[in-house]
Amino acid sequence: MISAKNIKRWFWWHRWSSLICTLFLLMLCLTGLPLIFGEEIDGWLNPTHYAELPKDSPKADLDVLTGVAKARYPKELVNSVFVDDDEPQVLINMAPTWDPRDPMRHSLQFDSRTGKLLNDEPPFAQQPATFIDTMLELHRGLFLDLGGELFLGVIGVVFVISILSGIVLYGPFMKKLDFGTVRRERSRRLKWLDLHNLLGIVTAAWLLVVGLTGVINELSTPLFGLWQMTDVKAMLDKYKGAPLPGQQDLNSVQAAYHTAAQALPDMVVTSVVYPGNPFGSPYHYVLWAKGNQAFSSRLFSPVLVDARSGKLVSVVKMPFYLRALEVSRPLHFGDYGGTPLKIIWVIFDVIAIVVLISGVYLWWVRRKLYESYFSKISDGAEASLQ
Amino acid sequence: MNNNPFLRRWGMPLLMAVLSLSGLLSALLGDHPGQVLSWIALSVPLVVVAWYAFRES
Repeated sequence: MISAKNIKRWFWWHRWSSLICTLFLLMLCLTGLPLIFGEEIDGWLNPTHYAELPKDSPKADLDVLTGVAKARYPKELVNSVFVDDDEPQVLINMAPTWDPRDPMRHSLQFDSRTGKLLNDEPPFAQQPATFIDTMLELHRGLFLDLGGELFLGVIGVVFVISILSGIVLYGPFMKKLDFGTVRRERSRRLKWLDLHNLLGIVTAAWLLVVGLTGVINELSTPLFGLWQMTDVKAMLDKYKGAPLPGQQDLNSVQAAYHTAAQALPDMVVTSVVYPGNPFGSPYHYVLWAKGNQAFSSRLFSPVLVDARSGKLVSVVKMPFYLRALEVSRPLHFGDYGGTPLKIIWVIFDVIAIVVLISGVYLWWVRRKLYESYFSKISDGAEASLQ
Repeated sequence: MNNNPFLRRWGMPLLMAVLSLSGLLSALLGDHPGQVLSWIALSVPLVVVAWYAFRES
């Protein structure tokens, strides 16, 4: 049994943690709604029309595709190649430099079967942001990059505190009430208090999971940075001083793709990071492969292929903290169980919005209650003085 | 629900939490059967909310 004093303390924590995070949480819930169906919405707004070909059509040679791209932009570097496993497309990313913020970074879209150039896109920096991109940027970091991501991560921790304190308070609140009681007749405040408690306690587990995985997702930049500074650095240290391969020295990218695919027969290789790219290795092609089952498709394995010889160097084992990050993504996005799960996500999200707004309402009327209570006391005191 | 005061207060919230968590995990670990299980498990808390929130007293 918690004492009255403890209830007051928990109530203080619940009120202030909730007040601090409510405005941001409302933004997160609202921008999160379209993001649940982000892929579908993007597909409707910017449809690509692919040629109708049988499913098992052979794939175009990546060397041919990169050859076409390099012929168009002979002075630029191929940064990476994305081989989509969902749609029949290959994206070749190019830029004049390796700088990940190069304003001239751009992409060429090919049909992965016919090898036809579908779209030679203008630089990313000159393309208007799509609706979903804008929602994602706001949702992930308030348009403020790493600073915004870390800030929202802290807000996520405060949100978790508010959920936990809310669960603790549910006990004393429900002392004399049956589960699900909503006192409609008495007052608007009581009705919304009961609804706030009901909606909050039933969705508590979902809210905690989405809140905690959201916090982990916000840490993705520092976690990948940590990995690069430790494991990746250790892997590359033995090559120190070796001459760097230039883009003209590279072995075939198609051969590298094939080597990686053979090394991991149960996985799909979806991207090739070129030697020299700061997100890869100076001496290797880094190929990212993922599993082909619902869950395993969330787990990525990088494969290193020697840039000059084309030989398989290693299949890298990901550290536990990046595995945790990979598992956190689907649990936060709700995109791992088909359309019905996405619809369920939307309903939970809407309930969360109701819990947030009713919480603010309850704080507001209680505040007024206190005010009128205190003003009555002081009025009374004044009256007795006169 | 019954006369145990702890279960009377916490029985339903615990049941909802167990259903939610098993729903979240089953879609993660299984392919098709796991997904169907997750839709059912995660729908129960939503139906419970709708039932109590909209019922006429």
